[in-house]
Amino acid sequence: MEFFQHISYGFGVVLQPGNLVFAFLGAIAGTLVGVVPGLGPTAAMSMLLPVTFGMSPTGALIMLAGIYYGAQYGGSTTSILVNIPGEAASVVTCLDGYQMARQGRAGPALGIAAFGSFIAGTFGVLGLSFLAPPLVEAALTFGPPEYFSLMCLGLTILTFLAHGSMLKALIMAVLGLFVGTIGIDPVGGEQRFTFQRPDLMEGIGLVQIAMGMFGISEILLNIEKKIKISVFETKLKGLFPNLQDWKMSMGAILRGTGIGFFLGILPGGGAVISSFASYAVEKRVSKHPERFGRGVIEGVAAPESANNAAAQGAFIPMMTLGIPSNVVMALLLGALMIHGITPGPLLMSKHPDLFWGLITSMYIGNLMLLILNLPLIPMWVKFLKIPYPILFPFILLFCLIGVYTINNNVFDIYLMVFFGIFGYLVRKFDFEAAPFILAVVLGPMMEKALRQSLIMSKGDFSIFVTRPLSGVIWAVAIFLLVLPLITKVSKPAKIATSEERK
Amino acid sequence: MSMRFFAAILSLFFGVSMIPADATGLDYPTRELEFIAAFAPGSNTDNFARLAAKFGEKYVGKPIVVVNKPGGGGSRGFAVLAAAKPDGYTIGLVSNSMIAHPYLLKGITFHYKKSFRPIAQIDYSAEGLFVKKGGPYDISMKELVKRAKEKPETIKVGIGGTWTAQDFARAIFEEEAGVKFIKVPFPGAAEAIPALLGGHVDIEFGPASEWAHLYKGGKVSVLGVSTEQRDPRFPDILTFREHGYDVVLSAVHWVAAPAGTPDPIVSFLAEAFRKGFAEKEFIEAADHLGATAAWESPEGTMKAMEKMEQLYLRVIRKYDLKPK
Repeated sequence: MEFFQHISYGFGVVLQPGNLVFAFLGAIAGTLVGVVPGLGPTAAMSMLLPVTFGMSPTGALIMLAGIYYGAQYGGSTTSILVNIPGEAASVVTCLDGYQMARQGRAGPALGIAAFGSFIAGTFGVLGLSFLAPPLVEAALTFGPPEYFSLMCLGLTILTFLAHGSMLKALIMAVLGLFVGTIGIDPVGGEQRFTFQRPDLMEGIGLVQIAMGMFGISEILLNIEKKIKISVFETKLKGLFPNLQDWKMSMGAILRGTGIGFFLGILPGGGAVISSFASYAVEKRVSKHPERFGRGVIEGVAAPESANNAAAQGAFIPMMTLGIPSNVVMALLLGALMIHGITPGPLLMSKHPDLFWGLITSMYIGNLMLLILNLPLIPMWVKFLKIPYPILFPFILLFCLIGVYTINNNVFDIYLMVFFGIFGYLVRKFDFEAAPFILAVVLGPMMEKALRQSLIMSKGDFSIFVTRPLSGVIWAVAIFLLVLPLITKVSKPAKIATSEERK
Repeated sequence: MSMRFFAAILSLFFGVSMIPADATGLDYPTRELEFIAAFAPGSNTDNFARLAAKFGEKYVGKPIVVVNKPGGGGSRGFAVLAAAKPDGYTIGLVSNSMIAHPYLLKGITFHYKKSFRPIAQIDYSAEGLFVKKGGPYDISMKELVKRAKEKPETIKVGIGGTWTAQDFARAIFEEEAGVKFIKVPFPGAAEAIPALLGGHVDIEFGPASEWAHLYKGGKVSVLGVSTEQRDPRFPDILTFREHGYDVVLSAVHWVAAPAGTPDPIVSFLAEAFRKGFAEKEFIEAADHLGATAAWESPEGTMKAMEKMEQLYLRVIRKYDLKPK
């Protein structure tokens, strides 16, 4: 019953008017920056950081955390409406979310994204309160060999991402792996394909690529079809998810939450990978996998729940060990440290007000976001009624501003435009962007883990199978790859043709 | 642009005292200053850039706006600062990496002596050798060196960044102690520290800002630190020198302006930062971030940079490192 004491204590902290206001301000600011493509929580949080020096640490943390999960809510909006992922974790949402919008179902897509995020957020908070210490121990058992195996397992997701030709998906993935090698090599410090430009030395950012390949290329494709000015003149079918939608999404939301939460704990890219992984899982368990990518609601519900749950999972290593698993966590860590609070093993016992106050504030914040976001849906949907010739210059403008603010670098604008044109060309030839982006995410992590593992083992490859956890992950990966072959043999032709016939 | 505007509005709200230009006839500053941080928001360097800006602007009399220019392990931000107009309106934070980059990376256009004018030293953070508490390497320094000598290249050392300050500290330590570890590089502390706590690497080098909280929380033991004297915050941790190894190398942050910035402006800024960094709150905040506030004059800062270059050159020559 200790848990209820803690939680009620936490609510006592967060329901103080001051803290409630901070949670609300954070949630609103987060939603706003999340909606603008490219402008992520990092920019808003770093600008507000000096302001929080003068606040109470609990209030500061509650507000900054509010910006973070608020942005997770907002990020899906542009993915669904205009096919522009506001941040890397919303890339997958584009796949089915945008297709739903084109079929006049933007409302239900936005609705399920909001509800899914809320449900995932709620479970995430529960997970955070109950499981934080044991989970962080579990996460520590992942060393470089386990990460490498996990990334290989991640690459099997490719087979679920492609809904056209598998060959073309593989070509895109290989190109993505190549782009992932650009930059200073993480082990030897060698520059690769950088042309000695500092802009390229840390590699090409995921958001720049995603905004180009999804957003800019979409605009280019739409300009081309000049006769059909309004792509979205299909009648709007309902503003909120109906009973059927709920039935289809519930499982996806729960599975997405689980996947997101656990992957979120692992350092590096948890939210992005979990959104891809949950999408792949849904396609695997679905009775109609061929409809994925053409606007199924599970394809929105799963990644949106996953990225939100991952956002919460990321708090675990930060709060219990003081290890930030992403930039946002690093900012929160900095904010705490400046106040003289060192997150880590002692946080829970030394600053219970802060620990439990933050956790319960996330619950309250998620509720606020749901209340805030649901009435906004009809407004967002109305955006689609704006004639495209007026809408697209504005989208383009926001993309340009957003992508610049990531690093305050004009070069990023060129990169986005380059990947926009690249995305446009490959889409003309029926190649897909998603396998490319998955490979850009996984490639560098895979390479780094492979090389670290081989340094550790002095070049002996058996390290990947002799370590138990790594061995198990390999077994799962091989099983997943072989499984379709077996089902193909036992059920001849049926699946294969529906996949190949486009 | 909009960010700068927003930040200016914020600083208006949150009480920046507007001191008029002094009577020396220097018509500076008449507008806000841009402060370039060469690393991403939330990084240790960024935290110190924001801290320096906040305490400096009180005495500069105009807002100091931090602009992050991350990329290239800091080299992009350093290059932007070096190329900025030397009118005193663009200054920034430089660190150990700035000294090292011309020797390690191809295409680097700046050099600490030719491209920058030092204004002040901000802080330093000791590089420590730490291990997992209660783990198989939670042993004395003597024992560690003994084991490393008995079986060379068996102990795995985690490094949060190839040829960053901590890697240089490792190299100097290996040379001084006559040992050789297996170096496992990670992109940063966020990945290197879990690897240590999970037992995937045996020992690790890193600045106090990365291990101080884990040390206080009983998760790691620190076998030695690279400062000249013991850190008053951690009186139980011996320095490498006390162990008999001459490893003195810290992660340092400096404020610098582009070369060519006029003397009166440099003196004005140096004086402003001296006052700011002497404030009790600044010293406390630096301490909270795991570092030690350590103001130095422009001349003192230049000396510190020269000393650092000499130290780095020793390693660079020994390993025959070439820009790549």
